[in-house]
Amino acid sequence: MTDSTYIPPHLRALHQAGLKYLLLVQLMTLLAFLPYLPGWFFALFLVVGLWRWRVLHGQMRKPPAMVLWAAVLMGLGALMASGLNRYSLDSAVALCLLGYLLKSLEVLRRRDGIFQIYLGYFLAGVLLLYRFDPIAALIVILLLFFNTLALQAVTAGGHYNARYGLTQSSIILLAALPIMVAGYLFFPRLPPLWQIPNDQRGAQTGMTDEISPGSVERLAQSVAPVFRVAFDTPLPARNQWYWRGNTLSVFDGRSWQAEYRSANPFAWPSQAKLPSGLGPASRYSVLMENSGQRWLYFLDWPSAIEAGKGVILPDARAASRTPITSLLRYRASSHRTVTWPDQSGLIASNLLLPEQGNEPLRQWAQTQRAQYASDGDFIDGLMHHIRTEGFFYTLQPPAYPGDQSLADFWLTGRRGFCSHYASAMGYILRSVGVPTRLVGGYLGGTYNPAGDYVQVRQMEAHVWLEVWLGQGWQRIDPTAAVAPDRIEMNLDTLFRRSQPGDLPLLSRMGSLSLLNGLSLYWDSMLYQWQVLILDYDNSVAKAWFESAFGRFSPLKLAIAILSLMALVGLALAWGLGMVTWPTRQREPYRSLARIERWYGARADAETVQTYFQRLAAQHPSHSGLWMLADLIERSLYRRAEPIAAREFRAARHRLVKQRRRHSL
Amino acid sequence: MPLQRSVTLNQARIFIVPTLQGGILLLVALLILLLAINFDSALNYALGFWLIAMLWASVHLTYRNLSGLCISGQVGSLVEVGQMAEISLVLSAKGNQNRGLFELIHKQWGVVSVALTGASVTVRLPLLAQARGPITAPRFRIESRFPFGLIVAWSNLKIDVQAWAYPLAVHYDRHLAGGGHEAEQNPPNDPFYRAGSEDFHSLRPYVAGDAIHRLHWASFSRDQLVVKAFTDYQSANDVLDWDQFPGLADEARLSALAYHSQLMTEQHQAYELRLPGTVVCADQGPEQLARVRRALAQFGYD
Repeated sequence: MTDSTYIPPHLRALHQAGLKYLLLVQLMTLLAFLPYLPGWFFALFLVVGLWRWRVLHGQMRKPPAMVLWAAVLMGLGALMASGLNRYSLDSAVALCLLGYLLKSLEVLRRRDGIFQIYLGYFLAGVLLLYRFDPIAALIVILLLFFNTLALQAVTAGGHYNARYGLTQSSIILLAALPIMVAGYLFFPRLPPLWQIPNDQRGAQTGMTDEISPGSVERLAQSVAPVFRVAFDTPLPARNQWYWRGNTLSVFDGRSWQAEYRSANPFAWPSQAKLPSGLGPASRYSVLMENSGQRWLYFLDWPSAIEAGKGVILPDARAASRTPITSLLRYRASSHRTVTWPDQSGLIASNLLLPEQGNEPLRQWAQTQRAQYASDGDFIDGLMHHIRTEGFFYTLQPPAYPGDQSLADFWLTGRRGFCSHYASAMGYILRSVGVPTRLVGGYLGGTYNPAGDYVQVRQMEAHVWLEVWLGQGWQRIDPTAAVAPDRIEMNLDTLFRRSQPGDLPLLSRMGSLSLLNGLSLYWDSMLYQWQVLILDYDNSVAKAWFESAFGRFSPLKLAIAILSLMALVGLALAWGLGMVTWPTRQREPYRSLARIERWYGARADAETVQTYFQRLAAQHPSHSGLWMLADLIERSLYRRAEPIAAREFRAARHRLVKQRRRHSL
Repeated sequence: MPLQRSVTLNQARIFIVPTLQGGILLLVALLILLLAINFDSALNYALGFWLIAMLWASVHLTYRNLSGLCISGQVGSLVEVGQMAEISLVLSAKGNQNRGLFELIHKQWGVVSVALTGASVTVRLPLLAQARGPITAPRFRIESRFPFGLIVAWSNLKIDVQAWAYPLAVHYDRHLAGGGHEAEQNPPNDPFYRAGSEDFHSLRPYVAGDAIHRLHWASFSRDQLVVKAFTDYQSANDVLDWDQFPGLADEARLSALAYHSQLMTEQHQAYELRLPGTVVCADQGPEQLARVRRALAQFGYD
């Protein structure tokens, strides 16, 4: 026993149970991150797992430093080769996980195991940067639980006991829950302290500030939600669900670009005016998914916008100067008819066309224009042309390569998606001197009755036109001419009936009503989750607090949280058996104890009977003593006839009165 | 505080602080809160506060391990000076909760760990017997880091329980006051002398080295090599007395008594021990030796 010299806990060796748990949580963490990592990470895990297996079976030697360094260098090289070489969150996370896995090669002491578990906790937090739906929350809770189990196993060393570990881990997580909720509710949401450059969490999704042939069709393959809109006022008519984002007014012969681009967010004008609305307004709030983009979406046309992050731009919308990497919620109201503020600075740039390319189309436009009296009539004529001249609306248009692409499409191909129609018509109108711009956004959406909101998916991506005819911008949607039903229904509903071959497999099956109902339900749950949990700021909790305790102050909050901690602590202490409630003594012992307090304790070896005889002799006037003695004896020796507690109480009460009377 | 044979730990005796490991977990939680702030990540607020609250909850769990724990001294062993003595303690608590691992720490023995999974458990502390007399358990530290090592709770305890060390046996001659027939007459290196030479006791097979005059010649004629064994019937009151070693210092006398009591036990003799103020009645065998040794160990410490 003398050789049991004291080793500080962190230097002690790891035991089997701890090593096994470490391997398990490593696998779990890796699986959670696998969608965001190059696939070879799993192979790396297998190698590391094999090493662990050796260690578990007695090969406790450290690998030579050469091998370790070779592994680190190979890992770094593989990261580079996988394109994770810039300073971005993705690279940082991949590097972190590489270290997390390679660390296993030398985990032999308790210190190393604890380090790995703490890194696991941190990685659980990092996972929440990638996804924050309810399932992610569940995954993180699982990771938290298993890491805590692993922590118990590692710190218990050779004394690990599975049941003890399970109960202790459950107790600690549950006991921590109320404090966690309080912290979540009351902790102020602070603005970011610094920006991480090149923030590439997931790819950027959704409409961009540039529309080139094919870009919108690609979006139409995705059913991922973009935003959800809850209306305070009645839903606007279905054919008015035009969600405007970017306006694209710079045409280079092939693609349309926005004037306010994501490349130069700090050059955006900051004091722009919105149009002012006429007639009834639609008021709504929008909850945007993290898109990595900067564009906010509004119902045509917004007249008031309350978006903390958003900057109002002159083309009747708002955008965020920083990429939207977390959930964003904003409010706005829109009108169907608006009067526009002074747009003189914008109109000239909406007439520009490149000098070259698409000459046949320009000539066609000018000859056609000569046949109409006004620009308005000309536009109607164009729509009529689309309706009658065999144009076809399709998700799989031919590629129109080269610098004559618009002319090829309009004059010969005649098969295209919304962007083809919009850009060709935009070109035609500009070439006859009508100020025109493209609008990139979404058209339509799905009303979810369970959550009372409209969900808009990437599939609803749409491009239309706005023309300036003297007084204001007017919406022209050539898609309404080629596929009138598209205005009234979503793309998948439309195509499922007419040309299902165009749709991706998943949306073709979407017609099953049960599946549809379930997905609607799930989506409304997601929406509630986003509104209640993710978009939470502490103003709600502050309001509760103020309604209960008056004006909010940090001191009061500290007192409230400390008392909550004390309450939970007390409950915990009681649950762990550290404190017990003072228990009420049962009759007749309760009465006996009372008598002993009043008249002095029983002597050694004095029975209850002799005790009462002595007392009665000493206090002849206290007849209540006899009554109590009788009750006590009866309840002790005649168990079959229980005596109600109130009889004892009455007898005691009487005795108290007698004592008071005779002591005066 | 007066020395107690049994100590029950309560809030006055338990100290509790976070360990370095707990501090680092707090740092991890703060890092996660930083993630929450910097990436506007709502769920990370929850995760960060969850970890912080776990740290707080584990204070209760660790405190619970020591709270209400009763440490009582049992017995100490009796060993010769220079050997390892053992002191046993019983850890017990109300209820049958698993309180995890306790570590009893002191420089003298390093660490002794014991897990209390039921109502009670016995733990033995090894102590080096450096001098004759009582060996008391030093003020040691009992600590618990269970269940997660985030928090350490400890108490410093001194329990009133002793082991005893009896003196090292050292050979000094006894000076017998009365009929001192042994010291002069006996050839000192005849081992059989005290084993007996007066009364015939039995026959036993010959072993190399037996004196030739003890051979049983009658059996030799039957080709059997047998020797006669004799026993002494010792006077019943052979006494080991403090006064038989004049001129020796007190500790040396005790050592001499230890030597002679050991010798007499080896020779299966009954004897009595007389020390100033203490008498151990005449008896023989290992029990008597233990009684005598305890008396020698405790001499002067009563």
